[in-house]
Amino acid sequence: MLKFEKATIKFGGLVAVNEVTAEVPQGAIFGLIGPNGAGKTTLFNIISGVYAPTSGRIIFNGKDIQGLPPYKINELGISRTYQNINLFKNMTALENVMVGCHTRTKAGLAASILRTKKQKEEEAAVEKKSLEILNFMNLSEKAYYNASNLSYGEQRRLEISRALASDPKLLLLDEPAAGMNGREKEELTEIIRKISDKGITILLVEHDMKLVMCVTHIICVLNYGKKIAFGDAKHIQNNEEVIAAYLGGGLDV
Amino acid sequence: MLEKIKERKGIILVLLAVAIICAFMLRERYLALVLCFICINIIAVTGLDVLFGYTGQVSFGHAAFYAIGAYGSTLLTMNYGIPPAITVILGSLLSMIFGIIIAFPAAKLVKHFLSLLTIAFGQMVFMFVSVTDSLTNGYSGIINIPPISLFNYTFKSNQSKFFLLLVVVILVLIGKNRLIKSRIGRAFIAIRENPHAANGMGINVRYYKIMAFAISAFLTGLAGGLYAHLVHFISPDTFMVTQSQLFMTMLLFGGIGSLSGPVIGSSILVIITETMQSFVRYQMLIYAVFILVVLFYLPNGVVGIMDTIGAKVKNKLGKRAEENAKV
Amino acid sequence: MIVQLIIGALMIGCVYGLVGLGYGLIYKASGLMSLAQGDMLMFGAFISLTFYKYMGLPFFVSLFLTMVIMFCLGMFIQRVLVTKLLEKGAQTVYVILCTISISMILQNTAMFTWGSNVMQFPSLFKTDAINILGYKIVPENLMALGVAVVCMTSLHFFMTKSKFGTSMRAAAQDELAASALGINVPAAKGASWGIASMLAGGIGAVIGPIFGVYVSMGAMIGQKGFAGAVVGGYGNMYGAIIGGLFFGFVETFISAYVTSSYKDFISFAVLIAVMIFMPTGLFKEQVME
Repeated sequence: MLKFEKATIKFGGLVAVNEVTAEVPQGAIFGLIGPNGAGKTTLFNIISGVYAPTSGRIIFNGKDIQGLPPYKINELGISRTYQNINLFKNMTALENVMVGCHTRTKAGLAASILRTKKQKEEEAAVEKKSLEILNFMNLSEKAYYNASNLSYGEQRRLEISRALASDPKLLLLDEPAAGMNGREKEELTEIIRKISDKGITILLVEHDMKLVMCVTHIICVLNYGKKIAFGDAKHIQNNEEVIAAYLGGGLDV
Repeated sequence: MLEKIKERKGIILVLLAVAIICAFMLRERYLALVLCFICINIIAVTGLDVLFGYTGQVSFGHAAFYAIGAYGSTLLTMNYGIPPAITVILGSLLSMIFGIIIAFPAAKLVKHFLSLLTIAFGQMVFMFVSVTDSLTNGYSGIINIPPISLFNYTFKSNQSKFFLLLVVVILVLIGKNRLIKSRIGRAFIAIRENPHAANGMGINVRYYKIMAFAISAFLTGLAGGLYAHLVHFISPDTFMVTQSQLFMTMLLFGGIGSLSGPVIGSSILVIITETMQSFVRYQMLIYAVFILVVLFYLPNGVVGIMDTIGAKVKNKLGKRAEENAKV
Repeated sequence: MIVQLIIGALMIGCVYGLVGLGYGLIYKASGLMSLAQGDMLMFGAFISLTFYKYMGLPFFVSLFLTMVIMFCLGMFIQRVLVTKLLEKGAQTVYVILCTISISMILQNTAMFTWGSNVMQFPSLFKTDAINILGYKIVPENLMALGVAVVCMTSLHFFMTKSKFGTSMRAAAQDELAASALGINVPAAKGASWGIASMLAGGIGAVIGPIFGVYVSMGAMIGQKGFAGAVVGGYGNMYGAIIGGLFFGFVETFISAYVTSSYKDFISFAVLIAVMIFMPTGLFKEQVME
């Protein structure tokens, strides 16, 4: 589904991502891990269009997407959440999710002002779909609350809800468990599995090893921008290079 | 239907009160003119709200669009004899085109530079109309601008003009409301709240920013054209940078990002300006103090204060209901 | 003729440069934009006029007092108004609006205190024109030029060689690190606004004899100074001077050889063009989103 071929990005003299080549199979839950500064979020940013790689290709369903702007990539079927919560603070939870539906709707300026029949139907469908997504993510009660008034865990779930609204084929989750407690992380694992059951491929950056080993099918490990290991949870746990990279921290499951 | 009326009884009462006040004011020529000014400013400031309140793009040069609409409509009708009802629209379209042109560089700039760009644009338009005597008659201005006529009826009296403007205001407000509640409105607000995330959610930020500029320029240009045919005289004085600052003040005072904000802001500030006619010398000082009061004490404008009061009242009513339920 | 034009261009270019320099200082120190520099210039002109003409003080004493007063004014605005506004969580746009209202207050106050007519600043020199190398030059122009150059070089040495100047630069680059090193960051910020007003007011005092003193004298100059700062790279002090000189020359020569009524229009057109094609300016300062 998603392939990186020697994806490289340099910021001045610093090579943040160094010729990473990997493939994310359709329907998988794919984990991207590595110590701090390994280039995981940078790679995410390349995939989602925030940065264009200095060289290399990113191929999504056979189409080259490197260098495309983020909104185009969203249109093509890749959606993401952010490391720092990037919600629309002054909108309600429901409105946040409705914004996510943007690429799958069509009403233009004239149709909106004239409130054509089609536009009204589209709006009703958007609202219905957004409420369904909120329900799926256990946020129905908070639908009409301002996003800024939600608890931290709820806000993270709202970000995922918003990302789901554009019917993505590939969902990028950037450290979704950051700041969560144990129970919230269990709920998150459930959610990730639920989403995967719907057929959506998931690419996950995470620091919590327990969660990663538990929920992913394949893992790719980065260190200093380079890929140092690739395989399933068991393989990664026994890989000497990976253990060395983490210097004994955080790999006991 | 009855339920809907019950829900909105607060707003309906306010509208009734306003209607009664208007009816009184309309009996006198001068007061009717004041009402007309209020309508025109509502349209202009609504335009600014679409740009600043909804996509967060500041403009300290909006008088430029006001001028383009006014001069555009005036010159077309006086030089080519096209009926004013049509030239007002043409003037607005011309203003919209300039809005799109300016939007291209503007959409890329950060807040400070956008401010400067819009100020520079405002100044350029002002200087152009002041200096290009052959086209605009320069500082002397243009007199004898004809009133608007529709279907053989000419809007000559202040009262009739008010009704025409009222219809336009209502159409504009309805249009704005529909725009806000649509996917485009949501895109605008998303851009204001977090342009980076908006982009990630599939919104072509640049495209919508330019669209906002276009709509904003159209509306303020429309106000300019209507102004010209209201007072039958325009001169560069009306389109100086102080006018842009006044639009901003009205918007911030009323409250950005709302339907009633521009209405409240325009009404109150026009009334203050008119009552201050004897204190013209102090005008700038009063506006300046207004701006400072808004910045320090009313950051969300009057609408913001009303919302806060409304929330507090709801809270109290809710608490009282809880206590009653316990008993 | 051309020598006079060059001197005139240099003079007004330096005026724009000093005003633009102030904008840059404020931006570097606090990340904000003030639109009131032009009116600081005007206010300075009026204050020095009062000292010189109505109180009979010698010119340089008037100039010095004016600069002290303007420094305090600038510092007051930053320490009291701007800081409070930022504490309330206002965005940069609202601070800009605050400086706009300060500009309006300055203009109105000046109007009440000194009237709305153009006031004559009595000549500083006994002769109308002096003879240098065979060319007739108005001495006030040279004086303005001289004062401007002195201000710029003093500022340069102050910022690079003095302790406080260096701490101001440190605070501008990284507040947290600077305060960790014991630098009084609020004082540094206040000082930068103060210096900006002081420079504007000072140069206003000096051009009073050339242009006369009136309430709206600062508006255009403020905007051109701004334009110069942008062209040179907004925030860069040396760029502001070069940008100011650029506009001074463009304006003077277009006025003399092409058209004088469109000179402002052309200056603004150039500014817009620069903002579109080269917003980072000559010295490549950070600008875009």
